[in-house]
Amino acid sequence: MEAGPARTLSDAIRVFDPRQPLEGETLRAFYTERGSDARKKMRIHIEVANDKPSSILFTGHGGSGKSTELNKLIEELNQAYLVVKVRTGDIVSSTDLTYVDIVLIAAMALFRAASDEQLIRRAPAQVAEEVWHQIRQVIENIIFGHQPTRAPVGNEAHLSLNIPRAVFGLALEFEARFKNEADTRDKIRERLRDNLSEVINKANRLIEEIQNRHRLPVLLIVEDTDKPDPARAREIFFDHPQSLTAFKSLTIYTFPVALRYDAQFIDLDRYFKSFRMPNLALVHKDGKINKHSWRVLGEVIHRRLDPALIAPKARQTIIRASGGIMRLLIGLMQSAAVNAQARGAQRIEYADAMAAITDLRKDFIAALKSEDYPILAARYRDKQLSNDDALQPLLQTRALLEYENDSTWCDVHPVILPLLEERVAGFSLST
Amino acid sequence: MTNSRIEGHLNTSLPGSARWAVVKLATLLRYASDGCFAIALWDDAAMRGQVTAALRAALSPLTTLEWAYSALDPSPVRYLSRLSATQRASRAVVFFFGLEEAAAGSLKSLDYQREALAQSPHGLVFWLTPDAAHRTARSAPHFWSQHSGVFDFTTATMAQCTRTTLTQNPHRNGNLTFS
Repeated sequence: MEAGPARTLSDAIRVFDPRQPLEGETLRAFYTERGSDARKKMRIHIEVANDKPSSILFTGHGGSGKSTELNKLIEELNQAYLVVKVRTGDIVSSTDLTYVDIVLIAAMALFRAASDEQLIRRAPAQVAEEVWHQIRQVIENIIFGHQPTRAPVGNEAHLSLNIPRAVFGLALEFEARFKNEADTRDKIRERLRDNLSEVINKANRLIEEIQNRHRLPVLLIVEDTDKPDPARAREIFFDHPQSLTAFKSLTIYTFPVALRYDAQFIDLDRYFKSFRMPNLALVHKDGKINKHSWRVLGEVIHRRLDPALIAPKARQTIIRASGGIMRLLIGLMQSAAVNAQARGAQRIEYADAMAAITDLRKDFIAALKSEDYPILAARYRDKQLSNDDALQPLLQTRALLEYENDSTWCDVHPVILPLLEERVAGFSLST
Repeated sequence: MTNSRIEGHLNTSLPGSARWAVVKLATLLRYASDGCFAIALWDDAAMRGQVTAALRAALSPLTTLEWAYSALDPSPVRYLSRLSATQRASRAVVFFFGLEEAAAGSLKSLDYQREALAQSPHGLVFWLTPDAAHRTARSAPHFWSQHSGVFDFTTATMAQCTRTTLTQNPHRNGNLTFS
């Protein structure tokens, strides 16, 4: 089905899908330039690096649009770089993720991408066979511990295609076994704790070969590394930055927004360049309307929806209630479209938007604890973020939103504000 | 199927607020044709049974499938992967029951399974008690942030709705518009 603005409410329910970032056809059809510097700065950093290794942390609230911005970045750089994107969550649970897993998953994704036949066939000069042999040995001997199940290798006339093909098969086998076999995963981790540098060295040989022979710098993008809980994420990033930055490529890791307020975050400056994906602030810190953000979010809606299908007041209400979080905007639009369609209407009215907001508020009620409300009330008053542990789950659940227009400040999600009036003694929105 | 046809399939013994929630959930499941996650809150097995029956009728001819948590079969994703090729290819609605009995780790694992769940073309309905919904929202925030709605079928809420009409009172919603 061709991507384009929904012409009916039933189509709008499909088009406003809060699960999926924009990619491929939907990226081309629906992407709205948000005017944020994050992607542009990252791109400049990558280009200025002039193929020298550099590691990047990319952070932002869940649902702020990080994945879509990364997909846009890939679209922009795809011709000039060998872009290897991998989601650790496809292979290992974020509740179980270790720094060893991240390095290994990234290296194997690189091996797989570089051994893809399409890349090899179009390459003017191929990666030296010796490098492929070494990689194959590392996978078989160190990662699989001499017990690989060989991928079938065909009788190709060109020997040079056989080894990469075997590596490709081994990389696929690794992903399947590491994902599905807990026992295999534990054994591989154990072996790799003392031998991780072997894998990194081979990955770096391959990166150099690709760079020299294909004239393609390698850009590794590792997603889902922002998903582990704070304790696990601290262990990964604060205890093992050397391993994560050992690749001689340009490497981007997604990073948990809550850890930016950890006292140790500053120590990462030596290893990583960090970029933030800010939420779109709908107001300035002094309460005045930020027209730019309203315009961007209005365009996000109308790239996906015929303007005749939503009343202007409903649109404005939904934009305000999103708090500038892209995924919440998409979810509210879907919910409002459901409400309108369910009552048999032809367009989304203000009442449909308000019903969607009421439902979103229930969502926050489900996620918040009673002790969270006074903390939120205090942050509403002072707009200050700190490294207080109590704030981390509030940032993660998006009850508390970070903005960086004017300066870096925070605010309570607008949908929660009536709850503060109900639940926090002495709290009033007018104060 | 139009909204009135969905309503026509509803059991009239359902309370008014439940009927409206069923209509909305059925509308979502019918038209989110690339799939979706929805959360259905429950606190009474008999009411949950009535609602699922009403949804089945309203969604017909879409197939409805059911999965229930057990220690031997703890993963919704594994259940989806076990479906036959035909079942995987044609859109259906899947009800997931019993996750409130799952250990904290199983609820947490929804977070990393969300990508696999999002690949499914089916409408996935997770039936959770309010307490389990709270635990899921806290322990699997990334999964939680991708759902397409929380539909409340708890008897406690329905009783409240019969006492007061809780709908669109702008004062309850705060000042969400800029005029």
